[in-house]
Amino acid sequence: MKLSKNFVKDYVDVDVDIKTLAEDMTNVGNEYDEAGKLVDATKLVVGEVLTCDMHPDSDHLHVCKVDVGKEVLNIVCGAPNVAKGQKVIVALDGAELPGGVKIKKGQIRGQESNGMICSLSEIGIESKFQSEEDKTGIHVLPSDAKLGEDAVKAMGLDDEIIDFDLTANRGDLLSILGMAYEIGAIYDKKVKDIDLSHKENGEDINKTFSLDINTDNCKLFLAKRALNVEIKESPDFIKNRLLASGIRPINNVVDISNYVMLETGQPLHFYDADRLKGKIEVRMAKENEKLTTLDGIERNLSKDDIVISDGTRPIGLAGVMGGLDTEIEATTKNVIIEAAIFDGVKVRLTSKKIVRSEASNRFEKGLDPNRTYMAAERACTLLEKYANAEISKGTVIYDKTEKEDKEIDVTLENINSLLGSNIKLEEAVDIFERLGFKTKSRGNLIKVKVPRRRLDIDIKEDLIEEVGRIYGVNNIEGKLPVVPTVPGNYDRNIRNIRNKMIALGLNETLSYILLNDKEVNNFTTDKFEPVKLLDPMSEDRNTARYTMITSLFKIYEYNADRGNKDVSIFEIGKGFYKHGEEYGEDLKLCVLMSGEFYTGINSKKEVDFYIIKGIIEELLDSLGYENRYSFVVPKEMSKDFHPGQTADIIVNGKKVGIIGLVHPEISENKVFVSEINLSNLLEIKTGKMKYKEISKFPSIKKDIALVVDKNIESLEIAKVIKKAGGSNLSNIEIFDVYEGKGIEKGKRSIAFSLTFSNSDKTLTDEEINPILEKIVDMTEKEFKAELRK
Amino acid sequence: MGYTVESGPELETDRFCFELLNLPQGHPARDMQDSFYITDEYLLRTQTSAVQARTMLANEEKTPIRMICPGKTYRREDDATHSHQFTQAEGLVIDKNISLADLKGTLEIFAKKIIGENSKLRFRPSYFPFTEPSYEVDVSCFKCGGKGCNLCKQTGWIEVLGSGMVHPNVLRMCGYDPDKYTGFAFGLGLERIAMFKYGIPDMRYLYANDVRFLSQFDR
Repeated sequence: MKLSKNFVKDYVDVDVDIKTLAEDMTNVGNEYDEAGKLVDATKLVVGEVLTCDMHPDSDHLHVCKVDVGKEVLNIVCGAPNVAKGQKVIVALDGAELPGGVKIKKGQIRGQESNGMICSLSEIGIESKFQSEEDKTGIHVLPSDAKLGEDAVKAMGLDDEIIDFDLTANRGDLLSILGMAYEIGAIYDKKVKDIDLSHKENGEDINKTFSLDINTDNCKLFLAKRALNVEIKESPDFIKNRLLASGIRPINNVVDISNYVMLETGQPLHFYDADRLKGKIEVRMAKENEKLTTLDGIERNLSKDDIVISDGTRPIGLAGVMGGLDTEIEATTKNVIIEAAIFDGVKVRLTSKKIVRSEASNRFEKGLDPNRTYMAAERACTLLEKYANAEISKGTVIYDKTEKEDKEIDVTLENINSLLGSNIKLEEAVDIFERLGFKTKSRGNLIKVKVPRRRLDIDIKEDLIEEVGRIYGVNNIEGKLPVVPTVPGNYDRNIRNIRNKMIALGLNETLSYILLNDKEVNNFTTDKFEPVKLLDPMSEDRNTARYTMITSLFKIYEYNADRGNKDVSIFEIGKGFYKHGEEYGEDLKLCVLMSGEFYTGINSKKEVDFYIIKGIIEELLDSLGYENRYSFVVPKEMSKDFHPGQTADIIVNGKKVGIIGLVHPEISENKVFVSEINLSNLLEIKTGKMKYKEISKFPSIKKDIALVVDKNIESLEIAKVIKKAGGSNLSNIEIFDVYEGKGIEKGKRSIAFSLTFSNSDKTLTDEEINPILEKIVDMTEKEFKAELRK
Repeated sequence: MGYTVESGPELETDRFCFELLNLPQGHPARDMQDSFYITDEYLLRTQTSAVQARTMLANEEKTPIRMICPGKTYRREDDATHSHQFTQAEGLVIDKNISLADLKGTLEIFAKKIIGENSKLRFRPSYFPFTEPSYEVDVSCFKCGGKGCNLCKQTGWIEVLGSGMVHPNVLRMCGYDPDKYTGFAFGLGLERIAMFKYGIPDMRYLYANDVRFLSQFDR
């Protein structure tokens, strides 16, 4: 809502500058985007073109002598319409125009030019507010404009504007009157009465005009009649105020309907009375009913649109746009004034299909029925005064609204306990009175009568907000609540997992959950129904992800494209699915590693399966699942994984995740990923931490390297080693995998570091060697493994 | 500060996301154009406020509540300052005798710890359907400290959060008697704060996950 200071001054005295007004309004809850002069320019004066000759060196420039009162200036002007005898806007030497333009004395193609003759665009008036002539040349002022006078003032554009960004509940502020009440409350000023006086003559409109309301979506409908209107240009003050408010002036009658809407907040519609059949009906449209609206477009209506009909055909879309064939034209003689209240939700839905307008916005936010009556009368006043209309007697009325003030009780305790303030009774009462609410107080109880214009106030908390607003929240001192502390219940594990992964040297990412539906089944063989959006913003993001691996792989690709080869990242997030009618979401941890990984001071290693497996083991150990997990070759595997380097992660016999290499067909570079379903994992109970006697006897380490077929899983070998090792084998680690020179083609060497210990004695080589032999024997039997020499 | 950390589903129902928060049918915020609906009933939550209602309803003994809920939220918008996916944190305190002064004091501490020791707050009355009274809260500009600069558009203030006293309708629908209990709630967009705090010009940078970007934030 653009507020014109000149306009609101009709109804309340404002004696502060525009910036102060804007800030003071902000502090009571009315934010603004911009505040300043309507024409933000300096040194513009009225001049008269004394002579106008063609420039000797140009086919379009003119050299003019312009009288600006104190002196006569030589000015070069390029506008095609400049002519001798015109009164024009002259920007003097040193003038500043919108857009940072500065006018300086100079020469144009050898001719002295000591200023500029301005068009409306050059002084910042948008072209939609300009006449066709103004759009193509300089603006010509009326011949009675005084030489040397401030040109902005001469045009009546010496106004100031605040462009407010209002909250949705303050529909009352979409009117000059509403703004006047708000400003009046801030500065303790009375709001002045609106002039509704006019004469009414002739036959009562009710005798010849009938109204038929056939829908609950119209609660109030008023019609009045203005005869013999004289259509012409509006007086300057109306045109300028419309322009300042962002509405294009058209002719006096149409302008008056907009002017009254701006003043009262009540949208009006004027019909050419001679094109109606003496009747108005309000009803819901029929499915596929047709109406050509003011903008010349034929609309296809639905049963959710409210239409106005004259009994034979639709003539308007209620609250949104009028029909073309009953619009006010230059030849219109008689006018029917419609002032009505239509259902805000219905108007909003219709306007979304057609066009959002100043009127539809006001219906959406809600209207005060008292203002509807006021607006109908005000339109008559202005039509009589500025269009020489004769107003018929009477008003056609259909009214199902409540118009009395709303009575709400509030106590001083209510106010001070909710605000935590120390406001006195007199202060609270004064605030209500300033807002224009009548009050009666008994003891600490205040009975407040809230006028209907304040649609946002229904309960005592709303009144307390009003007190807080005007009193000033920033005048209330802050304190801390005194509340007993209760133990937290957020899964501490999530925080631990995040910290662990960061400590291990991975970067945390944050990715979008929305993917294309074709990507949702990548990297998984789980059976689920994807979660699809009804109305996605784009096809790229039309479905919620199930596995996060796709998200992290996209991040990897983004980085790889930018030359970031070393990518070790993780994310904790959700995966979504549908089973039958039920929707579900699981918390997941996803890890992706590629390139080199920092493995200690001055040490980096190319990521391989064992590094990412080590990361996952480290994590599972830290969560308390030590010795409860294993990595098992999957029975079924997504084609997006490398079949030889992928495993299911099993905890307590239950699959909780997957770890593996992205298939070489998808990525040439080696990219390892792992995903754990944390919702499933964290359901598995961990054992209590318990002290275990440390063996007093030293342990012995033995390394063996086994050469096996390339496709044999190291995990399977480790299982057999464990079995063969028996109780004295306390730990197995894989520390090297090698294939290539020195190893037969199709085979690889896997090196295991084996730790032997016993809590009762020191183990000797004599005791360990037989165990080692057994290990070699059993791996040979199972895998045809050979001890690497 | 003694808050519990709560979480809730991101695939939320209309009831928790809107209805219980005093956003009745027909409210503009429920439009298709603003929310990602899955069915008539399910949608990707548009605000972590949904967890307010869940926390209150789950608390059958009506013991005092002091909770914070960080989480992902989704709306149909995408540009330099809006992302269709973003992160909010929601705070809620409910007990007998909770006042606006408590909200003010709490947010003042929050601002000092999160934004900076010298930060100041400005409360501007505003409108949210689930709080009454409602306030938007501005913090003194991260860059100029309040003198006015290009970041704060010369106002000296930057809007960082929405807050207010829990609306009696919300209390009632979530099982609390508004004559006995009051409470405050606040919500803030975490990306926005990160952008101001670290001088990140475009919200999309946060979701590109370039490792050269990520590794700058290792503290």
